[in-house]
Amino acid sequence: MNDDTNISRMLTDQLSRLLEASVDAPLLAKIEKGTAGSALNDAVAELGLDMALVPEDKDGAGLDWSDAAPLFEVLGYYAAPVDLGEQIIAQWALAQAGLPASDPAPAVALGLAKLSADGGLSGTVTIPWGSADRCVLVEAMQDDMRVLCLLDAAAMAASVPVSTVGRIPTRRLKLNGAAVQASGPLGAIGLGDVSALLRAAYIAGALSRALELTLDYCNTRTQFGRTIGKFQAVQQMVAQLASEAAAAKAGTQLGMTAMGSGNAGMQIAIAKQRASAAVAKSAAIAHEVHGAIGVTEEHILHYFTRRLWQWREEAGSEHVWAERLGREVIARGGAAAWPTMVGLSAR
Amino acid sequence: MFQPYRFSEIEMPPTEAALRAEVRAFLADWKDKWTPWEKGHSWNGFDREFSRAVGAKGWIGMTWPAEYGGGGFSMMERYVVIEEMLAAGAPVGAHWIADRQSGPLILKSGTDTQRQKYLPLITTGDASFCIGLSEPDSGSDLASVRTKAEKTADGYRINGRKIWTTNGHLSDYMIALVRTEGTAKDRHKGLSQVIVPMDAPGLNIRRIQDLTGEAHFNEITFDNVLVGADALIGEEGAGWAQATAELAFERSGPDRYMSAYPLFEMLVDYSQSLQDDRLSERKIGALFAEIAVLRQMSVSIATMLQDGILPNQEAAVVKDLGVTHEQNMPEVARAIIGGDFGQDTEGDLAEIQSAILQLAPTFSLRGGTREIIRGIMSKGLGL
Repeated sequence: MNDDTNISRMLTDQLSRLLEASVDAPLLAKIEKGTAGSALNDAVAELGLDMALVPEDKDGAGLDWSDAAPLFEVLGYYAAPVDLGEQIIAQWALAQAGLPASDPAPAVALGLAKLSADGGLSGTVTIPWGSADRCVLVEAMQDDMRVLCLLDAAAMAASVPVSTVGRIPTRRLKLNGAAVQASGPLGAIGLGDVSALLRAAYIAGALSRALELTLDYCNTRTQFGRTIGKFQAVQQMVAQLASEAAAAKAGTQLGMTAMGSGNAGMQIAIAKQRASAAVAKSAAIAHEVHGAIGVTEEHILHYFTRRLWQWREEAGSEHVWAERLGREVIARGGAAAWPTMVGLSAR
Repeated sequence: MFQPYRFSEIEMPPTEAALRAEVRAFLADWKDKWTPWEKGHSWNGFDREFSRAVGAKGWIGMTWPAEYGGGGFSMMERYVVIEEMLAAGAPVGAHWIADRQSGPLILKSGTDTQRQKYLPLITTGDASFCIGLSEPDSGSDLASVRTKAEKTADGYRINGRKIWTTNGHLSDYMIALVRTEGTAKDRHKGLSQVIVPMDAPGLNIRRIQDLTGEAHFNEITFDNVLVGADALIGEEGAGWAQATAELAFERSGPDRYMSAYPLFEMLVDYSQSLQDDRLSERKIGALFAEIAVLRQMSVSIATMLQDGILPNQEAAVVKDLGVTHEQNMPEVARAIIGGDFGQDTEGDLAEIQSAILQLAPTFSLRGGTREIIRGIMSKGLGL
């Protein structure tokens, strides 16, 4: 175990303790109504975790992606009551593009815009956690080049709220030639890619919570004189949920590891595809086992299943990523598929 | 955060690239000899000549000590070799069982005389082993085995029946789970494992024709079969613990998700001929991601084994997901190809499809049925 792994464990524990102590169904309900106090945000900000992936020479913690992965998963496990994950990738992207870190971190837009020669942005983007007083990062194509654009809070004046299944406060922004405050070039891995990887980790974390809630319910709910977890029909379903959760986590791991070794494009596609693909069956099983109580507003399960349904779509669904990945694999041909496969884990 | 499994990041050995290149070069000389039907049989394919060639390369019993013919390789290096074999659809059946579980069992629990006698023969591809677990009345309920081994003056007299023994008719030895004490009611107690030569007098092999039109399975009858005291592996009465530890090896390898891989490769080429077909792109991409994740988990299990961790629960996860993936592959092929595909078995793609389609029902039976595996998982999760 190296020092970074120890630091990662320490930071993950800190974050877990904070979220464990503060996140419950009433708080999540408040967040979804957009009326949550800033207490949790302030407490999270105090941890300074948004700089986790920024190199040490730029005042970051200099963690690599594998070491930061547990932070993202923990956020998913607690239904991401703050946009810390987005803040971490925002600061990473700013550093990648040669731009200074921003305090507080900007929101991260989903969608690819276009940057014209005169510096104006066009296109429509969606901004989870976006608000009228926050800067926002937008990824755009400038001819064939991928660039990162920082828009100041004033640009958000034109944004409108948009409703989502996840119900995290989200805004949509039509960029009618919006002026860019700062921009810089991105490498092979863009903001959309790391947004997808972040969602994969959120999904892995939320699935592990959905599994835990389901197991707890199985061991406490009694019907026909025994806990429902004693019924083979239930056991068989829960095992499948566990398998899917494990697959989502393993795929995420593959993507995170690859971020530290050159081009992670394919591994990110695999991570998001597999994580998103795990959601349908897993959410269905979690709800099936919980019965009617699991769909009530007061039960906490829906905060996880609705986020799972949300995150599987954001930054590309399993279908979108499968198509991209398939196109690449098919172009290389059958004989190249296996060498490509084993090359995914090469260092 | 709740984390029921120990899958970790994977790291391949530094020798990986050179070893892969060597295996691929070796396989290149053989590949063209195998028909699509044969490739569809994966590790059920039995070719003694091929296994001897693999043995000559030092790729059977790779991790065993040199004094028993082993190569002193790491488990990860063995993993590299066997996954290359499976990807190519090589007929590894003549050495597969011995390399995967019989040899490791003898190495771990056998006497030095047994190790000297069997292991070198396995590593050259000259000794094939089959597994004697299931019986006509003991399938998933393995602890109910009835085949009896009674003590004689200088060994055991075996009576009973074993069934679903893959390639038993082609094998040289069986490691059989037998009752040395008590009756089927004693369950796990009184079970032992013995090595029985397949040409022993009183041992009768009946081949079982299956739906593929072939006969991979056998029913083996023991009618007063006499074996020496040195046939016993490990302790008398320790058979259950030994056999279940062996099953962990059977459940954890890449053979648990790669049986249909050669079909995938052909589907990629077929999709290329379609040119920008979005449906096949989605299907191929989803399959590729599924395989990549299964491999990530499977390699991680090999790492655990290497570190001396017994990954029973993780192996169950890979088997559950892996066989479902393998069984689904012919259905994905149908979706991609469409048209008149499947109406006959003519042509390479239809031929391999027909092999895997017809073999697929056994994928979720061997090494413990899907329901048994999920039962093991739910127990592991505390239900």
